[in-house]
Amino acid sequence: MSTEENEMLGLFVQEASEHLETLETDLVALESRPSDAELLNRLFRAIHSVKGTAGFFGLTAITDLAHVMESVMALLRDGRMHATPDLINLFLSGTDKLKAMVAAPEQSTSIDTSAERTALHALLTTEPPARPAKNDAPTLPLYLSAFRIDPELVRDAVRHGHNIYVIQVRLHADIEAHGQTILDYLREVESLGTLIDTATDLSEVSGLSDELSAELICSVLFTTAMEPDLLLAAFNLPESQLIQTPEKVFHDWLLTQPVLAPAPSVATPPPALSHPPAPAASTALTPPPPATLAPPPAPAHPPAHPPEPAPSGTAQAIPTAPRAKTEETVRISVSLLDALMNLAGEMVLGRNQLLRIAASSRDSAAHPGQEGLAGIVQGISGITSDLQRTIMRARLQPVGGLFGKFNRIIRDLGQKLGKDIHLETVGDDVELDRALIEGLSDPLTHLIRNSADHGIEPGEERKRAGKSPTGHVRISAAHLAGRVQIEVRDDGHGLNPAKLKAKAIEKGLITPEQSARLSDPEAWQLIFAPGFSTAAVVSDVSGRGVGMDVVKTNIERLGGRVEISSVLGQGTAIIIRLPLTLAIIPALIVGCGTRRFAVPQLNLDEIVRPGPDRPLENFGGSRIIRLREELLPVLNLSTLLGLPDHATADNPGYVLMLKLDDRRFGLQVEEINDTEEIVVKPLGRHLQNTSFYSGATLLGQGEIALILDLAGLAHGRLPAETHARQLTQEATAADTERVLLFRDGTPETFALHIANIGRIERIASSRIERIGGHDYLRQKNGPTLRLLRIQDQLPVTPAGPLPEEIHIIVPRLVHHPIALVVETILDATDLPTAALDRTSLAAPGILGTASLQQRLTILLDLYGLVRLVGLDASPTLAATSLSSLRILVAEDTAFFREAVRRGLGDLVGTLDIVNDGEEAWQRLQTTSYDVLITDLEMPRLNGFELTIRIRADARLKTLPVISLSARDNEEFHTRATQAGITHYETKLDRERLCKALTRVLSLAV
Amino acid sequence: MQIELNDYALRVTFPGDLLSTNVTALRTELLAHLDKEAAATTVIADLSNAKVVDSQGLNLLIALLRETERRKLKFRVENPHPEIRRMFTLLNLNTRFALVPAA
Amino acid sequence: MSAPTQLLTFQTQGRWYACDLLWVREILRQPALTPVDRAPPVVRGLIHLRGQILTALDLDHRLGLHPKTDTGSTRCIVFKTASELARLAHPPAEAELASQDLLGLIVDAVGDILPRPETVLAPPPETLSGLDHNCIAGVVPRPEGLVTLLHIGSVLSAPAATNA
Repeated sequence: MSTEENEMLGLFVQEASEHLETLETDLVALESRPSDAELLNRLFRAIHSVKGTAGFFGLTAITDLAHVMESVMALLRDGRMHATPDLINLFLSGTDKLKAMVAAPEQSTSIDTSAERTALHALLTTEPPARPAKNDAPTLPLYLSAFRIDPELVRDAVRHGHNIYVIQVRLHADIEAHGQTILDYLREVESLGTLIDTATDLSEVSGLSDELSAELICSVLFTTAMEPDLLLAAFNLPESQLIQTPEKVFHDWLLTQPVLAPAPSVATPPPALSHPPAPAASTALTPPPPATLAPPPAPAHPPAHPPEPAPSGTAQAIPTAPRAKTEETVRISVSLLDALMNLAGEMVLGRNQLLRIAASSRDSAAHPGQEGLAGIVQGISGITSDLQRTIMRARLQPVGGLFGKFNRIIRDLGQKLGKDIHLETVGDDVELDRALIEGLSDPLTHLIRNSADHGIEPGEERKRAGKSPTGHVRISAAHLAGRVQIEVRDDGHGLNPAKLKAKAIEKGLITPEQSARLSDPEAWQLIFAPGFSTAAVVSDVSGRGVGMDVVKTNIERLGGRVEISSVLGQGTAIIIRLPLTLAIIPALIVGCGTRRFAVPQLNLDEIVRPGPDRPLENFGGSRIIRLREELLPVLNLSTLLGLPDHATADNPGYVLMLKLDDRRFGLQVEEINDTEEIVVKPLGRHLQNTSFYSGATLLGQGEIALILDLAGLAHGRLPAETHARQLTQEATAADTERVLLFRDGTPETFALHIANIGRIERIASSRIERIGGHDYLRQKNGPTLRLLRIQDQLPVTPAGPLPEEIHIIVPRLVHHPIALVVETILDATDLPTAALDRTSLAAPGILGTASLQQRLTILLDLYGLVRLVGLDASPTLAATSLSSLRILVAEDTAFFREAVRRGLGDLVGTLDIVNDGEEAWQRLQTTSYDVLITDLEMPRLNGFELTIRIRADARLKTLPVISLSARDNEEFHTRATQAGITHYETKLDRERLCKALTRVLSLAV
Repeated sequence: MQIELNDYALRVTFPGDLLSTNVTALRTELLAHLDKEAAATTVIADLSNAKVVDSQGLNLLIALLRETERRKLKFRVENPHPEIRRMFTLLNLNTRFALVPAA
Repeated sequence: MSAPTQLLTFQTQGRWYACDLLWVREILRQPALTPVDRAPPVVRGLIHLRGQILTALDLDHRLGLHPKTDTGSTRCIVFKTASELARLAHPPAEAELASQDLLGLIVDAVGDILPRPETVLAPPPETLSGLDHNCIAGVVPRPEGLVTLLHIGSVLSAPAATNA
């Protein structure tokens, strides 16, 4: 086949495919409107067109099927047969076969259409003749007989949904009397539509002998999209002189007329008037019956409709809807559009470079003549932006094309599942980049199928629930704030969190404990976990191995996010949010070493530079950063990519705070460059499966930057959502300690943990007695207290003499009577754990320093101070029983590990501290301990789970477990008891802890 | 009105526009000429001088056409101005008037 | 399926190869390669070529050999895309395997253009050992030695890619 024939065939395929698409849509619509004349007409025309064009290529397999479909369709059209669901199924089946044949025309004969053809033929023969045929040749009404009618013009009009009229005018009374010339009138008619023929009635005129008084009557047969009212107004004619002829009238007659070979898509301009060359006598025109205007069969266009230009000499309009709108359109190949997109992108890059150069050479003194340059560059810049925008708009397609397909899917599914389901589509006009539409096709299809299959209940069940027996699925698209939002809603039975959790546990996706902690929204998210399917029976309808997790991944790959919302018993909604265009996006360029990467601006919340007040820490194996009271995990790009990590304490690089769905995390990079608008270039096949990159782009100087796929980077590397929240919760709950601030006559401010303070008393400093080099205070009730002054023990500024009144702070849990002298008590406040700097000022007696209330505060270690004076800081309880203890502590917060170490370290024989439950479990396998002290909320394996495991283990089940928690609430207590925790303690109460230990051990003994 | 008889063809050259104002007079004259030149077998209506033909003018031409039909004469219209030719064509009268195709 | 009328020869790691010249679009000298971390080793990197991004493949990896270090001198043979091949009056063998991706092969050096070989022998087992057999069409005896004729269409198609 020559290239030209190839092209023609290609055009045929395109055009026929479009017809078959509308055919399918209309067939589905026909089911609910079986007598809709408009629909039936459209259906007929579509199949007729396919038959005709296929005939041109000699594709008999296609024409044979199309022909019999057309014949039956004609019966439907004429009201001689009724469209039953079975018939519609038959047509749909035929349409499917036609689609397959059209897609591969050379192999069209290999497709078996005998079933459809036989069934349709059967319908034709059983149909009784509704009326006897009058004569063989169908005729047109008498008033049309005066015209020579070109069937092609009529077909064309019918195809475009134009109206056919006969307009009668009296040349003098109707035209000239109104000041118009005959020629003007005729030209006006021409301008408003297509003239098929005119007939001038000469019968009134006889000869020269008579008075020339007869009025000449001119009749015009004419097609136009205009509605009757408009025409009448345009020509100022009474209704009786305008006769609209319905297409039906021409229908049979047309079938007997020869079909010309259809012109290829670009039409040769038809002459304004086509008259067959053979002159025919203009027969006497019997005046048409004084007709009242036949009511137009189709809904009128809005009256403000401007007149159509005659279709002559322009490229053939491809109707976007069967009732063609009159916007001129052209076909353009997809590759051409893509090429334009690329070029636009290149222009943007060039423009950006130009802008840079223009900016740098703005010193016009040094470069005379450059002054004009800036203006020109600005101009070009504007044009480039416009060009880019316009080309991008060319790629937009209405989403209705995609939505339309779902009608068929719902219909078929409904039949198959025996459910009555109605699909509503909203926002068909919303336009999306065609790449997005392609990318959405599979996910949306799956969602629609899911709703129909799993969401909507069977009719009986719905009735019992008091719902209407028809299930509703609604798919909508809308532009919202620069994004596109697509929703799939159903009014089915909604998501049942309990069932979801049960299923997830069954599939081993979560543990019972985890499931118990899931809120309902979290439970809904389980649907997106890989390997999840709530169907009791994996139906072939939607369970083809395409899970909701793939839907989610696909949407994310498009740069979008998926949310899910449900009300049990009422329905479910899946909400997809997408960026409008794919091809050009704003991105931040970052660097690791010599590499450059692009991070889509969309996902970027902020850029943070880690530092002393915003440190990067390690937490349960991952790196975290604290940001405004939240702890967020941080990934290191260099590490992920296997590149050397150049971050140092001095130069920690930057952390990009990213947002992906509701996951938030940081990405540590070495360098930050600019934000640019980048042209997204897809990666080739060889790189399709690298999960870290979603594309590549060219930077201003021509370097290649890979576009990071944040979902790919994060996948499996972030702690689970609940854990992240846990981190934050735990951190906020446990990360502040109540401290007392005070001063002791020196510029420094000090702090003590309130938990360690037994009592505070105000005394007159005169009561202090100095004995043997030490200060003492005699108490009325109680032992004499040895007094300590901070300045004596610590390297702080020495204070002056004591004021008259001072305070003493008596610690708890100290055996020896002792008190700390303090001049001024300032305030009690919360000290955030992470704010504590433990390294700058390290000395015995000092736990650390912090900046509190804008003052540098020194947090004192009360027991350390006590030890400093050589006294035994042991608690009042008998220490001996504790000294041989082997204790394992599981605690994920560094601060508390330290606190426990200091609190118990010197009391017990062995104190092993690990970071989380998993490590503790491992340790328990190899080493024996007398007691386990465990935090409750830890990553990987929390205290509850750890205890459950211990209780289930033959060897370990009798191990006493003391739990420490910042939280002291009912729920925890209950869970703790259920898990088998021996004793539940709140943190950092050293005395209680020791008491607890004793109690627990005596229990054990 | 100019009348010429050449080879049995009677050429009637109208003096100017064919309008309702002068049509009646022209009609009478035409009739007289037709009666007089009985030998003619063809009648040619020459419209070289007519820039405008209104409905009465058309009427006249058609009456002329009818008249020639009655008298079994051939009839044609010649040299219509382009606009007038167009009008005849649009009214589907060009064949009746046997218009010679435009050059 | 037309037999090659002209061959382009090239060399990596001291071995000489040849492919149908019709597949070749152009040759780049010392191209600037942008490496792609965590990509399959067959991908040497990306090259910016007049506004398009070319995926540069490593021939040795593709064939299953283990390359030694860089020789320093590199050439990139740029191949035609599917649409460019389709425009040829007589597309070369395996043209149907081509895709729209812009692909190139990194080699050490490019040699002469040879006319259609009179004889193409089946490759001796030693040549084939360890190599992806689908890519080898045969060997062409030359005065300088044996030149391995490649099914370049197969060479350029991706074997099943693995996740990073």
